[in-house]
Amino acid sequence: MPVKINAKKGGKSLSASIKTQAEEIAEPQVKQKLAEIGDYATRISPVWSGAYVKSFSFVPFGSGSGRMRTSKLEDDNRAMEDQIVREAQNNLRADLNKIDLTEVNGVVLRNRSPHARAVESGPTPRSPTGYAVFAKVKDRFR
Amino acid sequence: MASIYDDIRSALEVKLSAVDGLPDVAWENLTFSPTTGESYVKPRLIPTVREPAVRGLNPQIYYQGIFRVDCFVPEGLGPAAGDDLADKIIDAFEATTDVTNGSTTVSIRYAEREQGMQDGAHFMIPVNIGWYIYN
Repeated sequence: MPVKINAKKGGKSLSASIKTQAEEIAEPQVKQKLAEIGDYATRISPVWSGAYVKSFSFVPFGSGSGRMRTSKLEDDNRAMEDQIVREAQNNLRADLNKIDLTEVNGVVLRNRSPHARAVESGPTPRSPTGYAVFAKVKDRFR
Repeated sequence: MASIYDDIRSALEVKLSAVDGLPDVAWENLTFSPTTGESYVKPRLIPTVREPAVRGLNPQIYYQGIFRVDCFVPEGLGPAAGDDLADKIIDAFEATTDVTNGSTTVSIRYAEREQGMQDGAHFMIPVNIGWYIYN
Protein backbone atom coordinates (compact mmCIF):
# COMPACT_ATOMS: atom_id res chain seq x y z
CA MET A 1 0.00 0.00 0.00
CA PRO A 2 1.56 3.32 -0.97
CA VAL A 3 2.38 5.68 1.85
CA LYS A 4 2.16 9.39 1.28
CA ILE A 5 4.91 11.42 2.94
CA ASN A 6 4.13 15.02 3.75
CA ALA A 7 7.27 16.87 2.75
CA LYS A 8 6.15 20.15 4.28
CA LYS A 9 7.04 21.28 7.75
CA GLY A 10 5.67 24.50 9.18
CA GLY A 11 4.78 25.67 5.72
CA LYS A 12 8.37 25.23 4.45
CA SER A 13 9.54 22.66 1.98
CA LEU A 14 11.64 19.83 3.39
CA SER A 15 14.78 21.07 1.63
CA ALA A 16 14.30 24.56 3.01
CA SER A 17 13.78 23.12 6.46
CA ILE A 18 16.97 21.03 6.22
CA LYS A 19 18.94 24.07 5.04
CA THR A 20 17.63 26.09 7.97
CA GLN A 21 18.63 23.35 10.40
CA ALA A 22 22.07 23.13 8.81
CA GLU A 23 22.57 26.87 9.08
CA GLU A 24 21.28 27.20 12.62
CA ILE A 25 22.64 24.03 14.22
CA ALA A 26 25.40 22.41 12.20
CA GLU A 27 27.20 25.42 10.73
CA PRO A 28 28.15 27.09 14.04
CA GLN A 29 29.51 23.80 15.37
CA VAL A 30 31.56 23.13 12.24
CA LYS A 31 32.88 26.70 12.32
CA GLN A 32 33.82 26.27 15.97
CA LYS A 33 35.83 23.16 15.10
CA LEU A 34 37.47 24.97 12.16
CA ALA A 35 38.37 27.85 14.47
CA GLU A 36 40.03 25.34 16.83
CA ILE A 37 42.03 23.97 13.91
CA GLY A 38 43.09 27.50 12.96
CA ASP A 39 44.02 28.35 16.55
CA TYR A 40 46.15 25.21 16.81
CA ALA A 41 47.91 25.84 13.49
CA THR A 42 48.82 29.39 14.47
CA ARG A 43 49.87 28.34 17.98
CA ILE A 44 52.37 25.75 16.76
CA SER A 45 53.73 27.90 13.95
CA PRO A 46 57.20 29.38 14.30
CA VAL A 47 57.23 33.16 14.56
CA TRP A 48 60.15 35.27 13.41
CA SER A 49 58.86 38.12 11.28
CA GLY A 50 55.27 36.91 11.60
CA ALA A 51 54.81 36.67 7.83
CA TYR A 52 54.26 32.91 7.88
CA VAL A 53 51.67 32.82 10.63
CA LYS A 54 49.82 35.83 9.19
CA SER A 55 49.65 34.10 5.80
CA PHE A 56 47.13 31.50 6.98
CA SER A 57 43.64 31.72 5.57
CA PHE A 58 40.47 29.68 5.36
CA VAL A 59 39.10 29.63 1.83
CA PRO A 60 36.31 27.69 0.14
CA PHE A 61 37.45 24.47 -1.50
CA GLY A 62 38.53 25.21 -5.07
CA SER A 63 39.31 28.84 -4.39
CA GLY A 64 42.73 30.06 -5.46
CA SER A 65 42.73 32.96 -3.06
CA GLY A 66 44.23 33.45 0.38
CA ARG A 67 46.35 35.99 2.13
CA MET A 68 50.10 36.16 1.58
CA ARG A 69 52.58 38.12 3.69
CA THR A 70 56.22 38.49 2.78
CA SER A 71 59.15 39.50 4.94
CA LYS A 72 62.91 39.71 5.15
CA LEU A 73 65.06 37.64 7.48
CA GLU A 74 66.10 40.77 9.38
CA ASP A 75 62.46 41.48 10.31
CA ASP A 76 62.72 39.96 13.78
CA ASN A 77 59.36 40.43 15.50
CA ARG A 78 59.62 37.61 18.02
CA ALA A 79 59.01 40.04 20.89
CA MET A 80 55.48 40.57 19.51
CA GLU A 81 54.73 36.87 19.04
CA ASP A 82 51.55 36.81 21.15
CA GLN A 83 50.11 39.79 19.33
CA ILE A 84 51.04 38.38 15.93
CA VAL A 85 49.44 35.00 16.67
CA ARG A 86 46.27 36.71 17.94
CA GLU A 87 46.08 38.74 14.75
CA ALA A 88 46.46 35.56 12.69
CA GLN A 89 43.72 33.85 14.69
CA ASN A 90 41.43 36.84 14.24
CA ASN A 91 42.10 36.78 10.49
CA LEU A 92 41.06 33.14 10.34
CA ARG A 93 37.87 33.78 12.30
CA ALA A 94 37.06 36.65 9.94
CA ASP A 95 37.56 34.27 7.01
CA LEU A 96 35.13 31.78 8.54
CA ASN A 97 32.55 34.48 9.15
CA LYS A 98 32.59 35.27 5.44
CA ILE A 99 32.03 31.66 4.33
CA ASP A 100 28.53 30.19 4.07
CA LEU A 101 29.26 26.52 4.73
CA THR A 102 25.93 25.45 3.25
CA GLU A 103 26.96 26.94 -0.09
CA VAL A 104 30.51 25.56 -0.47
CA ASN A 105 31.95 22.09 -1.02
CA GLY A 106 34.46 22.34 1.79
CA VAL A 107 36.93 24.67 3.43
CA VAL A 108 40.71 24.67 3.04
CA LEU A 109 43.29 25.91 5.53
CA ARG A 110 45.97 27.46 3.38
CA ASN A 111 49.27 29.24 3.90
CA ARG A 112 50.45 31.29 0.91
CA SER A 113 53.61 32.62 2.51
CA PRO A 114 56.49 32.35 0.00
CA HIS A 115 58.46 30.29 2.53
CA ALA A 116 55.56 28.00 3.54
CA ARG A 117 57.22 24.96 1.95
CA ALA A 118 60.49 25.58 3.80
CA VAL A 119 58.65 26.06 7.09
CA GLU A 120 56.91 22.73 6.55
CA SER A 121 59.84 20.59 5.39
CA GLY A 122 62.97 22.70 5.84
CA PRO A 123 65.48 23.97 5.64
CA THR A 124 64.97 27.26 7.48
CA PRO A 125 67.68 29.26 9.24
CA ARG A 126 66.52 27.81 12.57
CA SER A 127 65.35 24.35 11.55
CA PRO A 128 67.05 22.18 8.94
CA THR A 129 64.07 19.84 8.84
CA GLY A 130 61.23 22.36 9.07
CA TYR A 131 58.33 22.47 11.50
CA ALA A 132 55.77 20.11 9.92
CA VAL A 133 52.96 22.51 10.83
CA PHE A 134 50.40 21.08 8.43
CA ALA A 135 51.43 17.50 9.22
CA LYS A 136 50.81 18.21 12.92
CA VAL A 137 47.44 19.82 12.22
CA LYS A 138 46.37 16.85 10.10
CA ASP A 139 47.60 14.40 12.73
CA ARG A 140 45.70 16.11 15.53
CA PHE A 141 42.41 16.72 13.75
CA ARG A 142 42.17 13.89 11.25
CA MET B 1 63.61 5.49 34.07
CA ALA B 2 63.83 6.31 30.39
CA SER B 3 61.47 8.85 28.90
CA ILE B 4 58.52 7.29 27.13
CA TYR B 5 59.59 9.28 24.10
CA ASP B 6 62.93 7.45 24.09
CA ASP B 7 61.03 4.16 24.04
CA ILE B 8 58.69 5.32 21.28
CA ARG B 9 61.57 6.63 19.20
CA SER B 10 63.56 3.45 19.72
CA ALA B 11 60.67 1.21 18.66
CA LEU B 12 60.02 3.22 15.51
CA GLU B 13 63.69 3.58 14.59
CA VAL B 14 64.37 -0.15 15.03
CA LYS B 15 61.42 -0.88 12.76
CA LEU B 16 62.71 1.61 10.19
CA SER B 17 66.20 0.09 10.32
CA ALA B 18 64.72 -3.30 9.43
CA VAL B 19 63.21 -2.04 6.15
CA ASP B 20 64.74 -4.11 3.37
CA GLY B 21 67.04 -2.10 1.12
CA LEU B 22 66.98 1.01 3.31
CA PRO B 23 69.66 3.53 2.22
CA ASP B 24 71.78 5.59 4.65
CA VAL B 25 69.92 7.16 7.54
CA ALA B 26 70.40 10.73 8.75
CA TRP B 27 69.41 10.20 12.38
CA GLU B 28 68.01 13.14 14.30
CA ASN B 29 70.62 15.47 15.81
CA LEU B 30 73.58 13.49 14.48
CA THR B 31 75.98 14.88 11.92
CA PHE B 32 75.26 13.57 8.47
CA SER B 33 76.63 14.72 5.15
CA PRO B 34 74.52 13.61 2.20
CA THR B 35 76.43 12.23 -0.73
CA THR B 36 75.45 13.58 -4.12
CA GLY B 37 74.00 10.80 -6.23
CA GLU B 38 73.06 8.59 -3.27
CA SER B 39 69.73 8.11 -1.57
CA TYR B 40 69.12 8.53 2.15
CA VAL B 41 66.28 8.92 4.62
CA LYS B 42 65.89 11.41 7.43
CA PRO B 43 63.55 10.32 10.25
CA ARG B 44 62.30 12.48 13.10
CA LEU B 45 59.88 12.03 15.94
CA ILE B 46 57.17 14.70 16.21
CA PRO B 47 54.94 14.27 19.28
CA THR B 48 51.57 16.01 18.94
CA VAL B 49 49.38 14.84 21.85
CA ARG B 50 49.99 13.91 25.50
CA GLU B 51 46.79 13.72 27.53
CA PRO B 52 45.04 11.57 30.16
CA ALA B 53 43.26 8.65 28.53
CA VAL B 54 40.53 8.71 31.19
CA ARG B 55 39.31 10.99 33.98
CA GLY B 56 40.31 10.40 37.57
CA LEU B 57 43.45 10.01 39.62
CA ASN B 58 46.67 8.62 38.11
CA PRO B 59 45.21 8.05 34.68
CA GLN B 60 46.92 6.20 31.89
CA ILE B 61 48.43 8.73 29.49
CA TYR B 62 47.67 8.74 25.78
CA TYR B 63 50.49 9.81 23.48
CA GLN B 64 50.14 10.53 19.79
CA GLY B 65 52.42 11.88 17.13
CA ILE B 66 54.10 11.58 13.79
CA PHE B 67 57.19 9.66 12.78
CA ARG B 68 58.22 11.62 9.73
CA VAL B 69 60.61 10.00 7.30
CA ASP B 70 61.87 12.26 4.55
CA CYS B 71 63.01 10.11 1.62
CA PHE B 72 65.80 11.63 -0.49
CA VAL B 73 66.81 10.22 -3.86
CA PRO B 74 69.22 11.70 -6.42
CA GLU B 75 67.70 14.51 -8.49
CA GLY B 76 67.07 14.24 -12.19
CA LEU B 77 66.32 10.52 -12.34
CA GLY B 78 62.54 10.74 -12.42
CA PRO B 79 60.11 9.95 -9.63
CA ALA B 80 60.34 6.13 -9.58
CA ALA B 81 63.22 5.77 -7.11
CA GLY B 82 61.57 8.14 -4.65
CA ASP B 83 58.21 6.44 -5.06
CA ASP B 84 59.76 3.01 -4.44
CA LEU B 85 61.56 4.17 -1.31
CA ALA B 86 58.45 5.88 0.08
CA ASP B 87 56.35 2.78 -0.70
CA LYS B 88 58.76 0.52 1.17
CA ILE B 89 58.49 2.64 4.28
CA ILE B 90 54.71 2.97 4.03
CA ASP B 91 54.41 -0.81 3.66
CA ALA B 92 56.57 -1.40 6.75
CA PHE B 93 54.42 0.97 8.80
CA GLU B 94 51.01 0.09 7.37
CA ALA B 95 48.04 1.33 9.43
CA THR B 96 47.07 -0.97 12.35
CA THR B 97 50.63 -2.37 12.55
CA ASP B 98 51.97 -2.74 16.10
CA VAL B 99 55.63 -1.87 16.43
CA THR B 100 57.21 -3.56 19.45
CA ASN B 101 60.62 -3.01 20.95
CA GLY B 102 61.25 -4.52 24.38
CA SER B 103 58.19 -3.84 26.51
CA THR B 104 57.02 -0.92 24.36
CA THR B 105 54.39 -1.37 21.69
CA VAL B 106 53.59 1.59 19.48
CA SER B 107 50.49 1.33 17.31
CA ILE B 108 50.36 2.82 13.84
CA ARG B 109 47.33 4.96 12.96
CA TYR B 110 48.21 5.74 9.37
CA ALA B 111 51.10 5.91 6.93
CA GLU B 112 50.90 8.33 4.05
CA ARG B 113 53.15 10.33 1.79
CA GLU B 114 53.08 13.85 0.48
CA GLN B 115 54.03 15.40 -2.82
CA GLY B 116 57.72 15.17 -3.73
CA MET B 117 59.89 18.28 -4.04
CA GLN B 118 63.38 19.34 -5.05
CA ASP B 119 65.82 19.68 -2.18
CA GLY B 120 69.32 20.66 -3.27
CA ALA B 121 70.91 17.76 -5.14
CA HIS B 122 68.08 15.43 -4.16
CA PHE B 123 64.37 14.88 -4.75
CA MET B 124 62.56 14.49 -1.44
CA ILE B 125 59.27 12.75 -0.58
CA PRO B 126 57.97 13.17 2.98
CA VAL B 127 56.32 10.12 4.55
CA ASN B 128 54.19 10.74 7.63
CA ILE B 129 53.52 7.82 9.96
CA GLY B 130 50.91 8.50 12.62
CA TRP B 131 51.41 6.59 15.90
CA TYR B 132 49.88 6.33 19.35
CA ILE B 133 50.55 4.56 22.61
CA TYR B 134 48.91 4.32 26.03
CA ASN B 135 51.32 4.31 28.94
